Amino acid sequence: MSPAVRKILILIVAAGVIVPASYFLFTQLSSSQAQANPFSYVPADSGLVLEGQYNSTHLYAFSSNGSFGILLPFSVNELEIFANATGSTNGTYPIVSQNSTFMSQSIYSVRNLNLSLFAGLFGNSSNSILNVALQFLKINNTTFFASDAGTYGMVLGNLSGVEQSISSYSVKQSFSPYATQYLSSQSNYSFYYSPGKLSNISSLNFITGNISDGNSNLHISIDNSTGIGTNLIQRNGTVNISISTKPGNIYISLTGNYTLGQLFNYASPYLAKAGL
Amino acid sequence: MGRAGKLATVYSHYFTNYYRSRSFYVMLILILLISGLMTYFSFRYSHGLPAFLGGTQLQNLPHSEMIRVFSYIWAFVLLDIPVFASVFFGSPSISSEIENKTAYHIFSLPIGRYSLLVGKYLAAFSVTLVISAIYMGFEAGVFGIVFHTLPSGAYYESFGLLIIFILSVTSLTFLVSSIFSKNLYAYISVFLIYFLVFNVIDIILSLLYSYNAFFLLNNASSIVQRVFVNLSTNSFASSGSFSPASTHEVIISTLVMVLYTIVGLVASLFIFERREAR
Repeated sequence: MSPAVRKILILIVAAGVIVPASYFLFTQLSSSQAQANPFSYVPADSGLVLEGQYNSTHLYAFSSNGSFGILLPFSVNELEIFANATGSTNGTYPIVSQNSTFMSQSIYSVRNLNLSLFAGLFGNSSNSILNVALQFLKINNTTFFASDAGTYGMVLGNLSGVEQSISSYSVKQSFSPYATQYLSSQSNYSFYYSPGKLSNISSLNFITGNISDGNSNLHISIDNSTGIGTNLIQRNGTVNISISTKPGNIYISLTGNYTLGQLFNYASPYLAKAGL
Repeated sequence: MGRAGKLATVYSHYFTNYYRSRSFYVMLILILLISGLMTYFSFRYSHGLPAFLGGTQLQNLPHSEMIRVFSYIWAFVLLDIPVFASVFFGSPSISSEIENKTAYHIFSLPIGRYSLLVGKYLAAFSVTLVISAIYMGFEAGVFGIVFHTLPSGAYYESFGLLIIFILSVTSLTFLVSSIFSKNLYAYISVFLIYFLVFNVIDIILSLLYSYNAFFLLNNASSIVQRVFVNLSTNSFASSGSFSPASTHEVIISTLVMVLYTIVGLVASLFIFERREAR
């Protein structure tokens, strides 16, 4: 066999491995990135989406028409292991058992879940991001349902919430494409609220908020036809308030030492104009 | 003698050469020493893992999970030992023939360059595998005594991935060796590429751009350890999980290592074919 033919043969064999391997790698990578993205498990039609951050640990919550879910950065298996490992100090053990299967994915029921279990991750105070998420979603359940959410972790919520979460990933109709548009991972809290078509608040499209100590922003999107007032820049004590309006949009920004109550006080006249 | 016969002759000759070399005994002593230390560690902390990990949160860790954590700790060594071994055996494989002028004799033998390089490659791979297998053997034995259990599926999965890792890192060392004419440059270059360049790229991409550089060999090789617990000890980007790495991650890392193997080996074949004895 001549050297040139041998070289060509080696190249053909190498390309025969490299090309399909690269293609397969690309497809696996796309799928893996979607699995690692928590927003892949947030339904696209969620009326309320919250992202909270505590010590670089993020928590995501969603709610829509009575369904809710919270995305946590550990698997159902890890929940069981750590719950049992730390349960002796808390006195209660969460009971995790297989409940059903939805779109080929296992759903578990989680009973006796003591949320102080997550204190190390999300803080133990009443203002911890987990407690805020629970209050935000108006959750007071004692029995939750859970399912693994790819490589990101798990989704914990009511049964319909967990099923919607699985479905949003499986049929690729998730909140993921809108997440960077509406939410900021840099803020302590970031939320998106949309009353949706079922709501009677017809003039409001959505509200987004990025809230951190010392710097917060609200964006209210309303129908163009709604009267929205004028621009405003003022200083109130240590708080700087900036309100700017464009057709259909109101931007409210606060910097300085303020409380959440003050932020919403400034927003409320505009929310009232939007019919809230 | 046919091509396969020549390849077998080259392979057996260099395999014998490698295991009689000082490098082999250095690596053997090193791996026995590390195995001994890990054995001591396993006996010493088999009932005191929470204390070792510095917390009380893992007090009631189930037996199977405890074995997984120990396997993860044992596998940490397997991320570096194959690199050292393959650099010892692979780096001088071509550059030494040029530097020591032995290329004059070898290139004139009635053996094709491809057979010569592939035979050397397989020999270096085999010796590195022997060194790593000794450690894996120790691990299986210690786990049998300490935890009264046979190696799990994850152990064999880790072993399989280790073999692919050795193939890829040996391929990288052969590529670098085929470029240089001096052993020292080949040694240093592989170490610099693997432990410095790859890490710098990883740090820059992960810290500045929050991007997990999955395509770097050092990140892909961490799958040997992550099949037990999905926490990378050499990457800043990995968020980590106590669960084993997902099938996706195993497949991605395997494909990256296969690509390094093929590209490195084919490139070194072509470069070696054009090398001249000087």
